[in-house]
Amino acid sequence: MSLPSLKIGDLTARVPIMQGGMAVRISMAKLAAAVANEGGIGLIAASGIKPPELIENIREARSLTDGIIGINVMVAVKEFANLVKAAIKERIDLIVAGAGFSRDAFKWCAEGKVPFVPIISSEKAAKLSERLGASAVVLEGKEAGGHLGTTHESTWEILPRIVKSVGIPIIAAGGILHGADIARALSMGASGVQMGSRFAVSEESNADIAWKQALINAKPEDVTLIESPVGMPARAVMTEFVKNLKAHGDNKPKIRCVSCLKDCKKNYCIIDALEKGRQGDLKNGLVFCGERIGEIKEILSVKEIIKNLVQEYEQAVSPVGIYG
Amino acid sequence: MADDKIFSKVKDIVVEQLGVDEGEVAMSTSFVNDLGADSLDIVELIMAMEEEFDIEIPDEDAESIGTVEDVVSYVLKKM
Ligand SMILES: Cc1cc2nc3c(=O)[nH]c(=O)nc-3n(C[C@H](O)[C@H](O)[C@H](O)COP(=O)(O)O)c2cc1C
Repeated sequence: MSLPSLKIGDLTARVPIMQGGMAVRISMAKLAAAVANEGGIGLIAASGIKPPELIENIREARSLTDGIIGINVMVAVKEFANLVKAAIKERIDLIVAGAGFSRDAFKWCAEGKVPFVPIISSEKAAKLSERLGASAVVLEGKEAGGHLGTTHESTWEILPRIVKSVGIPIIAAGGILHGADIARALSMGASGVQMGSRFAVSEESNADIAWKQALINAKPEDVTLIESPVGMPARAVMTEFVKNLKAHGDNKPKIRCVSCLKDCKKNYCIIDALEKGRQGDLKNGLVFCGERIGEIKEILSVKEIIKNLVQEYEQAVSPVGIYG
Repeated sequence: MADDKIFSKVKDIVVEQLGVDEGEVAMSTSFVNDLGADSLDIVELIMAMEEEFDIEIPDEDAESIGTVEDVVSYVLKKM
């Protein structure tokens, strides 16, 4: 049996795999377009950049693919409204938003006829999203990378409850790495999956090779939870930066604060740390990752990643002996 | 509408939405710190206020509302 398609509003993705938005500047035009070209949904990470850079990336992605391109943005960033509005103006295919709850975004997206997809970790948020007109929800369990809506409930524990509480499509995220995980999510009632870590370690992701190596080398014990200035916990690789943070409680960089967050805890500068990490400065940088990063051993192209996932899925759902 | 009338309507909504006792809700009560509301509770509270007072409260304004008094003065300003 081959993978079913994923429908969100009027959009149909041939492959029900969404590449999770990864800030700052990890999932940009090239990665998103590569995923869209394979029939999935590619998301450009808008958090931490300004509208002109986002617009440039949307246009670049469009020049590389006719597939589905969306943006991912955190409600917690000050530029949230401007980024969402810029993307709508560029006729983006969908907007995915996490780290906070914005009612305005539902309205802007409805007016702009762009599907809006909140990232949620509870039934309460799923129901409220549906009531406000969400086209789908991304359900993120504790296995996810980056900022976490929950640190104690697994994707697999929450999914059945969300399936029971809403009628809109559910995209399962957090700890999905292989085709068998996709088969499991779909069999439990998800309409698709979102994957972060696997696409982070791809040829097309927009980070220095040292950043990707840090993910490949990360063993389960190198993965840790930290407090982000956003006011949420986040999962990251134990870099020197993180060790210092844990030892001192803060890590004040010598940089000019641009007040990028609506409400910053100021224990360190998240944009500076993520950007340094992306550029390969692991001493001063932060590298986000999912809980299962230890299982990812090599950098692959998006084409190979999706080909493998499709094959693994088919193997997982085929009765042994008939198809092999 | 007078302040105390608005206060009593706000109180009713808070009691219903958050499932707290009337006695717990005073002008200075903070939704998060005193009543244990989470960010989604606040969203639902704000929506109920919009409905009750027939006003619109955009995110930006909602983000600066933390106490019962904040709501009362916001409603007064908007009506
Ligand atoms: C490096 C990295 C950066 C991320 N940045 C964001 C982000 O900016 N916004 C967001 O909503 N999720 C972000 N995430 C979460 C992913 O989009 C995705 O939901 C999550 O990683 C799924 O879990 P997985 O890594 O086990 O596949 C990030 C994840 C990683 C690994």
